Amino acid sequence: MARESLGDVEHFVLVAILRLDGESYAVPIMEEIRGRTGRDVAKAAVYIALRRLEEKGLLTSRLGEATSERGGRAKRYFKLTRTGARQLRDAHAAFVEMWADAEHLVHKAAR
Amino acid sequence: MTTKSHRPPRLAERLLASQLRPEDRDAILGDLDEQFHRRIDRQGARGARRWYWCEAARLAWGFRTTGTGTGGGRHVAAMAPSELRYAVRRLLSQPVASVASAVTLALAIASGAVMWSVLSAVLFNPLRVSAPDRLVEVGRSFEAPQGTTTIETFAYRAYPAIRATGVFDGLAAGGPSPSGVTIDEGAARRTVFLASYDYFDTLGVRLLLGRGFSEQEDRRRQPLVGILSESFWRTAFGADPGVVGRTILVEGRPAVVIGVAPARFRGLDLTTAPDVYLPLHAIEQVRSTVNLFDEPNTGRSPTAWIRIVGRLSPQATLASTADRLNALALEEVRGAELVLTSVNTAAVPEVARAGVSSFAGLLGGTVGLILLTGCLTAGMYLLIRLETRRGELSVCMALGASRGRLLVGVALEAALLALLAAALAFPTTHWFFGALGGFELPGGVSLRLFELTLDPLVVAALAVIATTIVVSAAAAGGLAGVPGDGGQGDPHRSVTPRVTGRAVRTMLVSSQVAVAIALMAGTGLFARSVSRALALNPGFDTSRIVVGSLFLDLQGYDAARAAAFFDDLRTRLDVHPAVESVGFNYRHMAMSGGYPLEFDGLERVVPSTLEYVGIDERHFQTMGLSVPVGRDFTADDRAGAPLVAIVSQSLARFIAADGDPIGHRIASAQAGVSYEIVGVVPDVISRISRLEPLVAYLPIAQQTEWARREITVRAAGAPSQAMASVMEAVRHLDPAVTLAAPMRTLDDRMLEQMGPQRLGILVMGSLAGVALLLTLVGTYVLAASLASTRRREMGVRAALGATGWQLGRLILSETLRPIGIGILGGLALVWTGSATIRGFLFQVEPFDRLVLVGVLGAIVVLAMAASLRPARAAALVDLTRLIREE
Repeated sequence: MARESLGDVEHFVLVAILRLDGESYAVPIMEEIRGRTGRDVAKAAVYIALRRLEEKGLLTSRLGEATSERGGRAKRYFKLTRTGARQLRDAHAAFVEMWADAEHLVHKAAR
Repeated sequence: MTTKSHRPPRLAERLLASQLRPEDRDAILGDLDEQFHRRIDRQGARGARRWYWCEAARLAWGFRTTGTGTGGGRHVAAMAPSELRYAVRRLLSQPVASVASAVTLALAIASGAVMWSVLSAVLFNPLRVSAPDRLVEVGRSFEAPQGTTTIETFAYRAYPAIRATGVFDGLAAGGPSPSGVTIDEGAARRTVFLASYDYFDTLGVRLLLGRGFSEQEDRRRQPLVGILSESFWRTAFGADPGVVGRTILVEGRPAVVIGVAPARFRGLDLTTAPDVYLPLHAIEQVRSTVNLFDEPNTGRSPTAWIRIVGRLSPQATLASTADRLNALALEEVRGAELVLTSVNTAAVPEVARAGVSSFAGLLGGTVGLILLTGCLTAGMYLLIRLETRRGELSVCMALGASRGRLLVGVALEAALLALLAAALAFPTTHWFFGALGGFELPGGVSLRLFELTLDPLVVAALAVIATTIVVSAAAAGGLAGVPGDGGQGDPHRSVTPRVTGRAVRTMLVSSQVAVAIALMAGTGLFARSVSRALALNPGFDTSRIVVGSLFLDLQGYDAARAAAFFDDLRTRLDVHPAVESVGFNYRHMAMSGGYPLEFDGLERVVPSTLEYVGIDERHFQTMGLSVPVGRDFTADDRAGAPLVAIVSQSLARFIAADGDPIGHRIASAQAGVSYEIVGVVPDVISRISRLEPLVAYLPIAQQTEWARREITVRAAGAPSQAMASVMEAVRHLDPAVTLAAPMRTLDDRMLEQMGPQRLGILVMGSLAGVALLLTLVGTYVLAASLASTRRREMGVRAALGATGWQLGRLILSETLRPIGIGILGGLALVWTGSATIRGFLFQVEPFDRLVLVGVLGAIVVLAMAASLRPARAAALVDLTRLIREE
């Protein structure tokens, strides 16, 4: 069965988790995306992406510690699975392949 | 303050939680919580809460539109745009009725928002200080003959003594200037508050501009510095940001402005609003006649004039702090038991606390009623619209539309009406705020002193409530009766149709009538109270008696110079055409009730305050009083002659059971002095709380001269002209002299004491007017609807021999049924509110026959008048024409 390709937000989420030592919860993930891309991705979109990626088996999650700052509620930590890492690698390779020798073309077109 | 004490808005949290899957709920709410607490440091608690609301709404909307929330959202969201379009079209198709409904709702929402602002400013958040729950006012408790009394004021020495105990985290003192002071030679006397250097710090108030007083500035004989209130800064200085450093004149002395207090800060007493704050020790530069700092050898006992406020230590409670203080048995408070009162409670004078709360409750209840009436009217409008769309809705349902979908349409229509109403409510609310300014709550809490601000969230919340009630009212009657058979059961096919929602409409009209009756009865009762108060002095014309106070000692006059001034003033006014007569008096002394006094050498306890009033020989003539028993004062009653007094009728009754006290003697509060009673005059009631005033009038000539007097003028024509003539004469004699308070007629004085009742007349009266109008519209609509839906029946009845009168009577009796039910409901409402309103009525009972008969009569007559036209249409029905039309 052909693998479903990753959407923009899903892609960002996976890379952000990768950058955050392969495991993190939603707040730093959103901050990482905002910090790197400058895009204020809607919170709902991030949560929905996390849920879908988990359903697809690209992420696993576990409940972490609860703090008073969070009103006694636990954090949900997401971790990249081996499948997730592979799919991210493949997606990246596909991008690189598509972009090969095309960078100057986009600059030219945008001029 | 730690951020841990803040919580995200619970309502937002709950709303969001309802949109999340249970397995996601904790993690997502926790994430938001975490970010909320970080926001507090950056934006403050208010900003963080606002942020939370936005984020919760965006998240909830995001989950709903993607269909990944709790489910069902996608369906509603997809349906909303088209339904919204239809709702807009439906409202635009009947613009006049839609706008009328929106205006009704706007009035209801605006009155709700205004009353919420008043309640919030007066009861829920009266003081603009930091953590008011940790601030307490120190008072001292005494045993008096009438029971335990608490006094909030202290002599100065108590302040350093309590501070030295170290019991409080911060301690400040302050007191108002005994009477207003003149700023920059302005005509009006300004309210000045003397505050210790740490006053603003203790209260946790950050100044808007400049700085607070330094310890050095709060010492005796220092150059004057002042802090302006924000409203004085705005009105007198045009909100000049460069005001700090400017010099103003306080009683002719230069004072440098060093700061401006924040907006809406008005100290700790709701009955006053200081214009200027001066350092505590500056009191002797604006007032030097009393012993304010416990100086020895002044011949005067220390004046108790400062109020002390302390901030509780972190772990301390009110009770534990009071215990610690009392355990020290401070000599400086002469062993009195110290009591601590929360500043929120102490903000309203003790005697008025219960009154303010219950009056605020009464106003809140009134507003609730009008909000309900507005909603019911709008609901009725939608219900009638649904009636006309019965056929259309029936077809929609036959084609597969669910009742839920139809309900969404009704809800959107109601929401649009509420939205329009909310937009209209903003200007209406500002207008209401302006109208309320001249009124007072019990205890002299003037609404003018509050800066009432409109909270958009309150308007929004009220609009939501309105929408909910309107939708419920409309949907309950309208949709329930819609047949799902595509109109096959068309009611017009039968002779006596089933009128959909008639029960609901009857209920709506009954509710409107009930609310109108309650509001009209309240207005009538308050109006009767005011008229009773104005009729307390039947013996003379109180509307023409003008009174004012002249405190010449404040302008440096001694008694002899003041006496010459008063003589000159009288001479000038005697020949003025606007003045018929002029007299002077002053309150010589007063003795509190509950204490013994000698009458004919025997001690008797005086039941209430006994006043000794010095009067000149023209006082009674000016007031229009005669001396029915005994004699008036004569020229022989001069200094050195036997001391004489004329007493009020109430005092005469107390002294001699037969009401003739002539020849009896009454002691003075000063030891060894007594007066022979030579006459009796009718009671002059100037305070509604003292209906039996105990007054002993003494000839001024036999008393020590004083530089303060009250001037009484009988106006020849309009009282305003007499007031102007007095002001002009005073200015002519000495431009520096100002009246201690604006001149007023005796009627004005009484009306001022009836502030809550007058506010009640304004609020309840205007709302009653609206409610009555809505009731009449509702009654007309009900009658018209009955006449229209029963035309065929009326035609058949007419054909069978019924007369026009019988047909008209049928409609009238059907219409009057809900009026009757409403009257019962209204009486029940009046009964429910009687316990609350009773405390504010003056010599009137809540079930005053005159008021109730008048109100019920007016409702019945007007409702019948509103039903006449539809009843006439029913009476003139023509069966032949009806059949031709069909």
